[in-house]
Amino acid sequence: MSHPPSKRPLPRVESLAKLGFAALAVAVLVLSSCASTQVETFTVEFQRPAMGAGGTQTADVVIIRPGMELLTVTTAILNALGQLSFGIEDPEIVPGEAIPERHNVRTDIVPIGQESIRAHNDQSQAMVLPADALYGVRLELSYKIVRSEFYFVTRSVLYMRGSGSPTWREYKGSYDGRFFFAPVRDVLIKRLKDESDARRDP
Amino acid sequence: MKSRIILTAIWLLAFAFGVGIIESYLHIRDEQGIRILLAEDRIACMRPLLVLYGAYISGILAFWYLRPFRPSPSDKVERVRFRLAIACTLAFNAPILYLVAQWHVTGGTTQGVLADVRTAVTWAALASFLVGPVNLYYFGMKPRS
Repeated sequence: MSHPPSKRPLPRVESLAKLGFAALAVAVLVLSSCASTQVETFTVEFQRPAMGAGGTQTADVVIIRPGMELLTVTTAILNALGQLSFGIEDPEIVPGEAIPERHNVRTDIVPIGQESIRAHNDQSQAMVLPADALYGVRLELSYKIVRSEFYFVTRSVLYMRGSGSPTWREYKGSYDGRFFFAPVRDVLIKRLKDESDARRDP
Repeated sequence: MKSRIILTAIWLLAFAFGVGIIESYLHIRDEQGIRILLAEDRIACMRPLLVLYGAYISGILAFWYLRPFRPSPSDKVERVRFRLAIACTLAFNAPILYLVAQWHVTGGTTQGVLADVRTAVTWAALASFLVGPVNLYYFGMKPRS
């Protein structure tokens, strides 16, 4: 005499959904703990020429004419990256054309000196980079205009190689990406002010 | 039989030395304390050498089991042939190892380890005439009865 095959109850859809949500939450937590220090956002406020206090404009303010925001910020980004020896891999830059808002600008990989690595390790002692490799950094940057502010989202990606390695390889350990972007942010803000000055008086 | 063993040993040793030289780049550091290769570079740098020696050694090992060609009728100049075979095999393999070891030889002034390995493989392709006939003769001939 044979028994009919036992039918196990199918898991309920709600249980599966809860399980999936829990797994997603864990994944997000793990990922965010690994890469949380590589992304930085900052804003740069700008004003219109007519909005200077009492008609006078101070040198420390970014002043941009209406309609010139995209070209001004594009020029500032290109000048800042160029000053720090970064080339742009994407997008293709066309002279006289602005980089659109929310478009990710990706640079090439620029080697980092050993002094900078030592400074990073001194500053971020929980994320020490091994001293037996060469390092380079690639920057990713996008911006959007929110009211009278440039809102920048930046990410620095660290690469490493040996002295005889054929190529750069992304560094998988922990590091403080903001440390490597800080000089770019400072130069970018200065370049925005320079552009503002250059465009203030035709 | 002895000649085949010696030639096979030369090939296997050259292969082992080549792999060993590349492996050494993962463990030594230059004057600035920087590793020459990262562990992630290992396969990329070894692949051209593995392909090169894989082609030759697989042929040599296959001929140990399958010998398709008839033996030569005379063995009067066998000793000369063997010396010539050793010379050709060494003339083929020694430059390969020398080129793979360029980073050690020049103190790190080359274009990189992978570039050196590719140069070695290019040399091997150009100099394959040195070992092609020799390998066919020593590994492809049936033994005399």
